[in-house]
Amino acid sequence: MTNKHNSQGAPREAIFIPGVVGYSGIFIHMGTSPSWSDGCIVIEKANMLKIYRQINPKNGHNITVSIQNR
Amino acid sequence: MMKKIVVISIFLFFSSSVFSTESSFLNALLNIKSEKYYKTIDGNTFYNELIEYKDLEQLYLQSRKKATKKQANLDDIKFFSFIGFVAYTTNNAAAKEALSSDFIQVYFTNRDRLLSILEELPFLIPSSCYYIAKHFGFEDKFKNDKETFIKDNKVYFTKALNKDNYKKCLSIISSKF
Repeated sequence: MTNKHNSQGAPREAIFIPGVVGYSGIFIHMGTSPSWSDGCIVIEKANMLKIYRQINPKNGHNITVSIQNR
Repeated sequence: MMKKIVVISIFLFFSSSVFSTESSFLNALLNIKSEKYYKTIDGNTFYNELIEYKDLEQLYLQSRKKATKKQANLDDIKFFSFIGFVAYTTNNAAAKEALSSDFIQVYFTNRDRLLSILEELPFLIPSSCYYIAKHFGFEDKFKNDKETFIKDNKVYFTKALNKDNYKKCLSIISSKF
């Protein structure tokens, strides 16, 4: 949601994951604990920015997300 | 005559925009795929969920603005609560997260109106009371404030809600998520 902001006051960086059966509005975004999520995937801010900056162009349907149980 | 046409046009414009807002959330609730979100790239047709999400997000922000105004219109609060119900029912993660911060603002600015809506439309209780509960601890904020909130606000819930609705809402708010 664009009502969430990063430390610079800009909309918080997030990666949208479409096609999740039984869910909607799933993103990968920054967070410091599970309390930051109600279904989204939360990762450390530094990792989020690292991934986000690699995506070019933005809004390009150009990434594949692979989720594994470890 | 011209004046009448202008008035009718303005009415139609507003009624169609309200209808389109409501139908967008009904589509989300019923998983109805709108034609406008189908895109074809390199011969492959797919449903663009992100664009649909962004449209819903704009409607959410407009609705939040109206519902968090002091003395907000009852229908605006109802509609924002309905958005919360749709997000809860369809497991919309990002919207639920936004509501975990935003919904409590409706309570703080329009407490009695919101509670009267929950009494009138009890199907909104599970989602609305869930968002009130989630405020406490979401993003590690206000973690220790829930007990005080319940203690200070119990009286308003008792006054506005019948026994069953009160019990249902308070048990949700008291739950740990």
